[in-house]
Amino acid sequence: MTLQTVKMVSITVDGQTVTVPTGILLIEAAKRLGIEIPHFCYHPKLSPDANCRMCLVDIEKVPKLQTACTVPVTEGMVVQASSVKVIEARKGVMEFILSSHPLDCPICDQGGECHLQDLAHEYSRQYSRFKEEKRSYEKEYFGPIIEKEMNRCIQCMRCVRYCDEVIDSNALKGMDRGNLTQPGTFMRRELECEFCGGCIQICPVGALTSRVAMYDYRPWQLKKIETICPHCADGCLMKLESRDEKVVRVTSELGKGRNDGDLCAKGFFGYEFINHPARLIQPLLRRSGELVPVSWYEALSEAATRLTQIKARYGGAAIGGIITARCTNEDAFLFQKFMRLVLGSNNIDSSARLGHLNAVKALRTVIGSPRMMNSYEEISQADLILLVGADITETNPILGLKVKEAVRRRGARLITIGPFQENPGTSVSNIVNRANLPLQVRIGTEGVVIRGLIKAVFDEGCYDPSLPNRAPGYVERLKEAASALSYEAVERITGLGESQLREVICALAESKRAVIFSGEGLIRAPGGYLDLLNLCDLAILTGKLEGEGCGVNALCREANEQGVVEMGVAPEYLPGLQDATEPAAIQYSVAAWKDDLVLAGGSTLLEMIEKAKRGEIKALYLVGVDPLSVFPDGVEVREALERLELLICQDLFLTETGRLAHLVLPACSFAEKEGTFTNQEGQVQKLNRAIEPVGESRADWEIFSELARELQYPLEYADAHEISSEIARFIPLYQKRSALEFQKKVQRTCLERYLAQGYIEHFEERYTKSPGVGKSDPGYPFTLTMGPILFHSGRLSLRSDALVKISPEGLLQINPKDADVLGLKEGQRVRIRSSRGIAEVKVHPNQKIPEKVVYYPEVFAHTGVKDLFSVELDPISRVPYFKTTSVRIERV
Amino acid sequence: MPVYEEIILKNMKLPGYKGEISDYKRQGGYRALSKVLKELTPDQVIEIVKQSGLRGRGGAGFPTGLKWSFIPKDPQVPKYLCCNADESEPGTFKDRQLIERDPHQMIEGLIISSYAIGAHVAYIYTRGEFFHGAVVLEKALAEARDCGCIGKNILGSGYDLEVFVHRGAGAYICGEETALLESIEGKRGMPRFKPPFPATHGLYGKPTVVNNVETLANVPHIILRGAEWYASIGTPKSAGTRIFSVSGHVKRPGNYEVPMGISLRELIYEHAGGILGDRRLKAVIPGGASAAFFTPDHLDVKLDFEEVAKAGSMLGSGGVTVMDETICMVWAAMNLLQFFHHESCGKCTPCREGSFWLHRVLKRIEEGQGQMEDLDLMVNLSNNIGGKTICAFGDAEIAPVLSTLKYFRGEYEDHIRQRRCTLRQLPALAGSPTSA
Repeated sequence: MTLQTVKMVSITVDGQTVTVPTGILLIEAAKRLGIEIPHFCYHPKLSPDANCRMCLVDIEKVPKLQTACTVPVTEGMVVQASSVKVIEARKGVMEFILSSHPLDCPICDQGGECHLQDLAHEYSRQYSRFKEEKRSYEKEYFGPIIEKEMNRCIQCMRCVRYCDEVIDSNALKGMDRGNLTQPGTFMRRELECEFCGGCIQICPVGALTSRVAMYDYRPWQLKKIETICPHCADGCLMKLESRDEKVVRVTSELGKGRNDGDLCAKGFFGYEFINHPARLIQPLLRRSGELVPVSWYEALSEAATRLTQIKARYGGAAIGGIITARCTNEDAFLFQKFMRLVLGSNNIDSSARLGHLNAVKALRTVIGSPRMMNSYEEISQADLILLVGADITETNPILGLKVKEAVRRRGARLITIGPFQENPGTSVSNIVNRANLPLQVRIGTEGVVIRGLIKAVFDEGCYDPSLPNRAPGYVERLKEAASALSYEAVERITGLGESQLREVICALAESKRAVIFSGEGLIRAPGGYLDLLNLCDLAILTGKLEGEGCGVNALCREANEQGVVEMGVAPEYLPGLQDATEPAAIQYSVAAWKDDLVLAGGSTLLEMIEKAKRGEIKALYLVGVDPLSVFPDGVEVREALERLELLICQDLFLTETGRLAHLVLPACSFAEKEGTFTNQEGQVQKLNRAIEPVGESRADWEIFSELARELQYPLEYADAHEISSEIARFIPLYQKRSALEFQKKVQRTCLERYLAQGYIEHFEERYTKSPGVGKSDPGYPFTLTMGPILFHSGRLSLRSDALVKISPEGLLQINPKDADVLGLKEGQRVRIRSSRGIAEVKVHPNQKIPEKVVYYPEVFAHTGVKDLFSVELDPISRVPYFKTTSVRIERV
Repeated sequence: MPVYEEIILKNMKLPGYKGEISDYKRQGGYRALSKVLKELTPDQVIEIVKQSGLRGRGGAGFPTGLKWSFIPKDPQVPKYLCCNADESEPGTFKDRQLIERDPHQMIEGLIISSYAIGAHVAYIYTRGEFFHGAVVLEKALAEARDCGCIGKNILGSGYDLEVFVHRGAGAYICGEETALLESIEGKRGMPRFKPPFPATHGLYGKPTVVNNVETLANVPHIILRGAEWYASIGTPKSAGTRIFSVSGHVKRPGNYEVPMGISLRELIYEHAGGILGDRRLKAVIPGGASAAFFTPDHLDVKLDFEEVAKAGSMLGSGGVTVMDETICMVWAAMNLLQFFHHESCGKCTPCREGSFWLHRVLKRIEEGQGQMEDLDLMVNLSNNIGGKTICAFGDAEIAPVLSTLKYFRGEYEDHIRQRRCTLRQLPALAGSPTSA
């Protein structure tokens, strides 16, 4: 980053002098002197509005009192922030604010953490001179989870400004006039927004509060513990606040964490699963066909006995283990150690196999590091952002805020390549609406677009000039491949023409700090691994891989997808993503663990299910995964699981798969355990225990450790921290977990190797194979696709009542034109028919969805929609794909 | 009665003058524009207007040429001119007449001013209720376009200008220049804090000049007849003529264009014909509802920016409201505060809550429920509002309260002591409560 010398100025506030960068606001400069100038409407995240008038100060040589929140400091400024004149003015303002404020502090949820209460002590008299009737509002509601009590509103409009400036949702706007001004929705419609809870958090008083735990606590009764959100891979810092071992709310602190104090609906409202009544509180053992509660002792010894028998009879390769990417690094690390050492099996995998492995493998091949190449800071400072198949505001809302910040505040160019359309006027973000260049392509053709872009690089002649010398063979082959491809073919398949492809390339070439993202549309679609390699080629050619502030990044879905893979939970990797066939890496592990490792073979997620179906795998240990609810019927998961001699499910809840298990072990949620998550960006962040374990549940790593002891192979750790230390010995990157400084992750030797020869592998499939045209079957004119939605993350969010209230069921999103043609209205039921089956759902017309495409939230797919898909296994990365299928839509 | 030459009200009083472009051109209209485009550089135009001593007619009286000179000269940066035609100050009705009866005069002024500051887009922001005015303006703009005075390459000079009429939605505050800009941008009409000023960060964040209708209407005349001529009218610091909208208890209410510096007495008793029914004068608001009340003691105050300010009020919008002895001053203040409470945009705490509070107290006193301590309370509340808000609305809303309390305190005390309104008002004034 270029270091600019910032001019410093000295100013004097109340006789104290401080030197600060020129141009910062006086209110911030005073803070550096420890002088907190009182304010309501000012917030460091928001542009100043100067409406509350509480921060008035006296500046020498300025006739009138000035608001400290709007005045940038200048050299020699002399300020009185607590003179009699200033205090009297503030008292006057305070009296006005309090004049119509109700006296309902005893029942106000904000009581105890209310800015108005705090400042009222300092700036108001003990009685009120206001003898008139107070202004009052008619009661209105902001939907099922936000309480609106406008009589408490002090009209600072922080909520409105946050909704606009930070979230970019604009669901809230100022409404009415004068002392009846209030935040409201367009035409007083019901609030429809992202429900990020930001308005609640930023409200200085109790005008907007959460209805989820209304009247359940007083703020000072709460135990507040900082931890990391488990819902997605953005890695947001938040505080779990509990009373009597029950989490009653979530908050976040301005400026802290990778999220900088912002949260999304899942983070803010999605905590009720923690203390959900359906949580498993005891181990369950199948006895005469029924799952009955048993003691931990009984459960573990039963598990040990049967695992020992199976291992003895069929060998370790007959045992498989799958763990969720929502567990901690410590859980994951110990799990692979347990499977490999104790059970002697390399059949280990995680839910990261459902897509993220494509990204890890590709980045590892090209740059030698599997992580996101840009820090969040670099993203918000980018001057060009290219999103390929990435519906970032839906899948990774907080990272989406960084992109929006770059675009809105810094004027970065945003190019989106993906199937979704603009739908202006919505108050749920759609990043396409923000794009300078929104390029809509046919669903599933992003990979072909990348090839087209590479062609345009050569035709525009704007490739990195140093590259032909550095990697002549590489450039030659790519050039050759590019010339063999025709723009017509690209246009026929994707819908993007030559001029648009060239426009992207020109923009890319003009930019200095270009950040490229790939999302679900690329990573979780057939050919994801190879397409991602091609995307890296695009970045290399345009000089946007190694350039300052540039990079290729892959979005993650689950909280610790990055971590579990780095922990070696995959048959092909050892901890630290060491190649499991690499002798040096094996030796290191063998030496560290003082035992031989079983690394031969090893099956991945779907392969284990298939092996179970064939009777080759006899025992499965499933930790937080529920394959029965995930895979389409066609995979015959039930048949596979029913053939098992032993199925152990370790989970928070009794899942569909759990109902088939021989043994169910109750695990702790993230709120009850310590450990670390590695977010998609590569930040290793600490989880802290907010409440005691629910019931008899235990942390996953503890269960592995106990089970190992039962199996006479002790893996003893006093606490999660001891495992962290062992991880740090294996993976140097984990030694500085809190270090926020971000090192460029391109390993030169690896990149040079790729440019010299690495690229040749699979070159045929990547470039010379002519891209296929999707065949359309007139019987199934629609393409059904599944993906995430903003309000859900999976089973955790489905057990969080507030989120369920916002989004209670799966709605099939359809383009309004298609809906019209089919005569469908909001909420009407339709039958989706594919060659594999039928599902019945309600429809929701949405302009965002392209014509002839229907979109269904994956989180609800377990109720039937998933069974419409067939599964395709990636021959290289062994990632199973089941995202799109051809369907027919019929009115019910 | 002294007779003065009218400048901007002159054309419309000619027999048969309909305000169409042919009428206007017959009186020499658009000659100034032609002269400017052919002979003068933008800087020369600014210099002429500076020399003329023309000051803003909207209320604040800021020197117009100086305002224009603050606009950055960089031709790459888009600049805007906005004509403030949101005339909503109670008691003021001059701009309406200028728009409806002689629209081309202000349009010509607008084009010249846009040329002077290098704007290629100009907006005329009209008060929402000026429906007819907006229709007239649209028609006049079409005529001007047909004559090549608006659009591309105006009068063959190479200068381009587009002019749009933007109708307000009915908020007094949108006459405040930054609220006006917000409103044009499609946002809620609420003032912005300053600095930055519109001259550098105005409409869409670009350099912008906001000028009143009357101000712009003067510009063509200054160009044609010269800065010296204009400066010779009125007083040295307040040059030119001023239209006063005289209303209330006078025999001949209406708009009077007179040189600045004539006395209030001359305006009321000679031009407006004196008090209705020859009753006694009680109070005058000299510059729109935002100005402090005057009493008969102020009749010899000269009507220019400096003298009126020195006497404790302001020339403001030129709306002169005359009240005779039958008017209850508490009622008058209450009435004005009802207006200010209704029109406060709600942004700044002191104005928002203060206008509400003051109105309630005044209403209570008027209804006979006041207490002596309310009078000091009102003074104190007013001081807590004045100078503590973003725009001048806060200062405006306290002017009637403080001035009536200053000059008519006895009347307030009578209300409180006798627990009723002590004056019977004329039934002719709609909405005025009559006491028992």
